[in-house]
Amino acid sequence: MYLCICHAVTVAEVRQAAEAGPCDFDELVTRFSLGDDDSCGTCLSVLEDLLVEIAPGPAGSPQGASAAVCQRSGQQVACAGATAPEGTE
Amino acid sequence: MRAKPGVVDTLNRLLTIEVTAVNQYFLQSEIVRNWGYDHLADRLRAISMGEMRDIEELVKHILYLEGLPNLQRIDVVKVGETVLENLELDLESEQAAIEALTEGVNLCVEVDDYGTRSRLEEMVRDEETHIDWLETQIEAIGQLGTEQYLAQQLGTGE
Repeated sequence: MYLCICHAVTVAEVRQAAEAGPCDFDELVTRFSLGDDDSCGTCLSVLEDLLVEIAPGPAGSPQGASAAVCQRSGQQVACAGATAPEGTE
Repeated sequence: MRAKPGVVDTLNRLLTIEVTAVNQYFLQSEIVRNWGYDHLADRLRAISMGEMRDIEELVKHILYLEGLPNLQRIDVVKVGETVLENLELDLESEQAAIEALTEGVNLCVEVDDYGTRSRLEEMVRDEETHIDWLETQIEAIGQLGTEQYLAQQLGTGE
């Protein structure tokens, strides 16, 4: 599915970037130009849902211990996708 | 005629859902046509036009109730990267639409607005036929395999 139709960015692209971590909301917004002056901004709610899906629990959740950290508004949540060993696909 | 409390807001919420649906089906239609699946594109286009008629009905009815139709808002337009993903996203959207329409029908019953209620019930019937068609397509893909299904959707091209 396209996460942002305005800039033709797919959920898969953003998920890959987020899972490579650290998946910071603001960093992803900047990297993919989400919600900028040339876009409608409806993608931001989809991005929020995606980050919750990737990192469902707050810091200290089971997959949080060795995970990279996602941040938004100072809140840190575990990024499950970043736990995969390097070199695996 | 002056609207009963909450009815115009509900109709405007439904209008946003319909505007989103028109755009979603239309964009998907042209995307799959570009991939060569003209038969599927024609069907998606027809649904888009049907949703446009729902918009017309809602706009006229909101004005009749002395409200202002809000065509400014649009929800997330869900477009997939494959035919199957598009059909699944449409099914998701239709289910959400029926839920909103049903809430609208319930509100109309509460406030004794039977004119609006019958219009919304008609829209529920339309959306149900879309759901039935979408489920049939998804089921057919499961039974035939994606390649066989898509082979049936190829058109003559332009």
